[in-house]
Amino acid sequence: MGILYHQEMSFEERVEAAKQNDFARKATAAATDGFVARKAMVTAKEPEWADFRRAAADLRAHVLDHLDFYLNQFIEQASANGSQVHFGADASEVGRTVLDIFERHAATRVVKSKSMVSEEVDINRTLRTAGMDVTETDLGEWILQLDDWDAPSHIIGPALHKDIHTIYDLFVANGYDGPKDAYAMTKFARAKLREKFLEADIGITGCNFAIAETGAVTIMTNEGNGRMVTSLPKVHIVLMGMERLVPTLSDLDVLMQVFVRSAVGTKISSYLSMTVGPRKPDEQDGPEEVHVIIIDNGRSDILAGPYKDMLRCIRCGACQNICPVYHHLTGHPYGSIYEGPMGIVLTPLLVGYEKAGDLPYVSTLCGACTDHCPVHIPLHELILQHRKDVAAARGTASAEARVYAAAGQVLAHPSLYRAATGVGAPVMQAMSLLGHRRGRLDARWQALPVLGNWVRRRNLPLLQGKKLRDVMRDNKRGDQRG
Amino acid sequence: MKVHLFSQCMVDMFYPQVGSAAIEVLERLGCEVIVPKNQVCCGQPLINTGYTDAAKAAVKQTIATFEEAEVVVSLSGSCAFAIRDEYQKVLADEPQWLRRAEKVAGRLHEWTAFLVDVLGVTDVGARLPGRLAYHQSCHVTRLLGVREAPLTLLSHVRDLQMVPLQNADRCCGFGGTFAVKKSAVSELIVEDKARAVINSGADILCGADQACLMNIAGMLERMRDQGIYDRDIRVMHIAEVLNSR
Amino acid sequence: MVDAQAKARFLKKISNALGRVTLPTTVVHPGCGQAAQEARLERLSQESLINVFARGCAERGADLRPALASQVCAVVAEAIASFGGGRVMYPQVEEIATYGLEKLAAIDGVSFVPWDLARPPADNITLAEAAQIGLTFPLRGIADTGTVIQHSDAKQARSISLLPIAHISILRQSDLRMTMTETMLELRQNISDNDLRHVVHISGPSTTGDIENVIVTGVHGPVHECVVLVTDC
Repeated sequence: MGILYHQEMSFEERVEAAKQNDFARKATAAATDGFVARKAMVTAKEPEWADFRRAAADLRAHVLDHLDFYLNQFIEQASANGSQVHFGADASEVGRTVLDIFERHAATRVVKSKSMVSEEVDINRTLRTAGMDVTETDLGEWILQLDDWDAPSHIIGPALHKDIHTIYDLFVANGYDGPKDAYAMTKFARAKLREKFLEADIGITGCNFAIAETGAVTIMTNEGNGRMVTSLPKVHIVLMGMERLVPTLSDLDVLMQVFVRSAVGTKISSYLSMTVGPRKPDEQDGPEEVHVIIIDNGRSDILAGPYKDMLRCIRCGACQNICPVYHHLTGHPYGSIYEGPMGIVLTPLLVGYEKAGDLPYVSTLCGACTDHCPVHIPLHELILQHRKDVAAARGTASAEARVYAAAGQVLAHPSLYRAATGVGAPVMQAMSLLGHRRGRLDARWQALPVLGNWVRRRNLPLLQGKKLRDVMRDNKRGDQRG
Repeated sequence: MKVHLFSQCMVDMFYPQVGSAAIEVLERLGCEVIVPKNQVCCGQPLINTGYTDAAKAAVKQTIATFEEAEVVVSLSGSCAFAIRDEYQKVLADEPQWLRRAEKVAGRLHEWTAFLVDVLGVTDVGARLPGRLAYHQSCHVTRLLGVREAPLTLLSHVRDLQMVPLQNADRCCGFGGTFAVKKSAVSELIVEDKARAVINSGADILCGADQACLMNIAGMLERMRDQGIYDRDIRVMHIAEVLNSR
Repeated sequence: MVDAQAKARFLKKISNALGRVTLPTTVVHPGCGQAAQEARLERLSQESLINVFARGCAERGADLRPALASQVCAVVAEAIASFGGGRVMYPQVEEIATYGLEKLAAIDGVSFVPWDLARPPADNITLAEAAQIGLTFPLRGIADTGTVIQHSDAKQARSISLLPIAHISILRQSDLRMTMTETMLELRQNISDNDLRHVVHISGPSTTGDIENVIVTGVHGPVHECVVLVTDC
């Protein structure tokens, strides 16, 4: 998929399209509200919650500050365990490395467990272009695959936007002949995907957390597809974002106390698989080869700059769950596989402002994301930092910059402000007389620039002929000396 | 106590009655209130869109207007946050101005927090019969951390019944220029907030930030004009509620 | 196995990003979270291990059946019956004899089949895939989250606890810990002592909510998780 999609549509067009999908909006709202409510319930019973969050944040910050050291430790341990470690500086290097492995094994059939970084490097396209049979095995991702590789809409529930009728139709087109209910349909998926697991040559996963001291990689799922992908095929490829690392198993415990609670509001997921290395010679199942591809794809640049804290992210989706913008938009309008607050911070860092410079404005800076991030990433501050950097990149000569510069002058000088509002008040007064509500501007004015965007759906009060400062002056109150 | 009031440009331009109410409450509590006429705007709309340099003029004007004051009280939570937290980032490259900004930040209070935490008052002697839903503005609640003061003050208003507002601390969708630049999204969020207000059964919507109230009121009124609901819902800044007798 | 040059190149970029030219040789770990871990352990320890485990299993939808060592065979038999009998796959470990589980072979409708290392791997996997029940002996349990920690080795193959429709663990209470804090420390030792290549934390059956958020049990992993807790061991 790559990082961006639906780019042929403008943001406003994507919003319009999302607004038409009533089901997706309701489903997303219900799911995210549910995750938030469950998280609140679980953590309300745990007085240690705040301390674990703080510890998790400090831990992630510590790892980033010493990322070269801990990665080196991981690489040494993993190699000692028999795993093969590769490096992916960018998406194309990852693609080449993966295809190399396929070639060496004359492999064609691959099963995948859900991995955001695999979408980021567009590995599915690389594999499919090379003629490989790719099966996503997370039920949500499989549903998307059946729908002509539709884009995910949420980090944890990628197919949130799909209703059961759509899914049923997709299943029927793929051989399903049972009833339209989630239980029977899931059973069908279990059977279909099991065939894929058993016949796959290669399994590809992401990595929730790698453990430096043991050279292990961990994959968490509720479904068990992570276990299947890491146990049945003879070759296991791990795509690991280079920052997805903890020093010790004890550190994994700390992260586990915040991760799943933040994602879906349960203490733990059904399965936490830990692959330490390939099977021993006397074992009969498990991969004979484990390949870990450590991926940079822009992360080392982020590490060097003011957005470093974004690399603490553990991909839990808590920020998406609490964001009022995401809540109403759902995932697709963002046009990025990374949505919500973490998405509008991370995406421009990975693809640049030319392609994603508008995303940091898809936010009210309400701060709810920062409030909820289990590793205390100052998300709303990073969003604002992007806006500053975008403005700086545009330069002072741009049309918008000049408008803002002018506004900045009016808003700084009492005399200019007085003049502007002195003109504005009677104009707005006159305009309101043309509407049907006294003292307000209504939808009649929606063609106007700027103001028009407000009055399309909201009434606007009028600039007062007598502002507060005029009242103060008339009543001889306040500081008349200025 | 002598108090310098930062009224917020929005209050000055659109809702002077809110400013007057806030002043009366303070005076009744024994404060001498100065409203410096050189204040215009805290510069937040420019800061929050990333035009930090363009914001500097307004930022410096605000600092200059208030830096001689012993006590500065802001009627807006978002302006208070901007002055207290954002100014130092805006002026990071101008050490002299930075010091002046820090001075003002140290003397600045949000209006409800000032009443409760500085004046030590929780009951201002107000009376307002009605059912009130309180919207917890993002800046006041999350960014400034003022969660208790407004509720404490409201709890002592005679004859006033507080009704729960679903998702009270969820953003109203204003977001400064977001409201007009990403209006399609802003509308979705504020519509949801308006529905929550309607469903709460309240006849008064209250908040501590007039920008939020302007936004929600704008949607509530339009929905009433369209016949989506049919009752009076007054939108009042907490200063107006506390000034009711 | 790793290409030394590729590694050096990759890590150098990171070192540079962190403002240095060479890799640090040592780092002092700040030890985050110990106080919180201790506080949690203390709080949970107000209750008995088994009570907390019972609650943890219930939250995760795992079926907990405490038993004395002498009763284990009978309790496992009951669990097998509740899952409808059929093929039960087991590892050829000494615990089978310890609990007298070979008697399970005699039950009507049950075929008691080992993961036999003399058999070709593909055949073992096929048998496990079509088995109703897989039986294993996990390393540890975590009471707080209803978890069993299942390691893999030659005898306890991954497939036994993964492929059948139901999974029954037989866990000694002396291997049960209150929190993951303790088990992670012990796991570290275990991995190193036994050259373990794969460990899975199992907390209840396989679930999904991917179809309209309806929670369905039994997607890719087992539909049923049962833990027989041997209380006097």
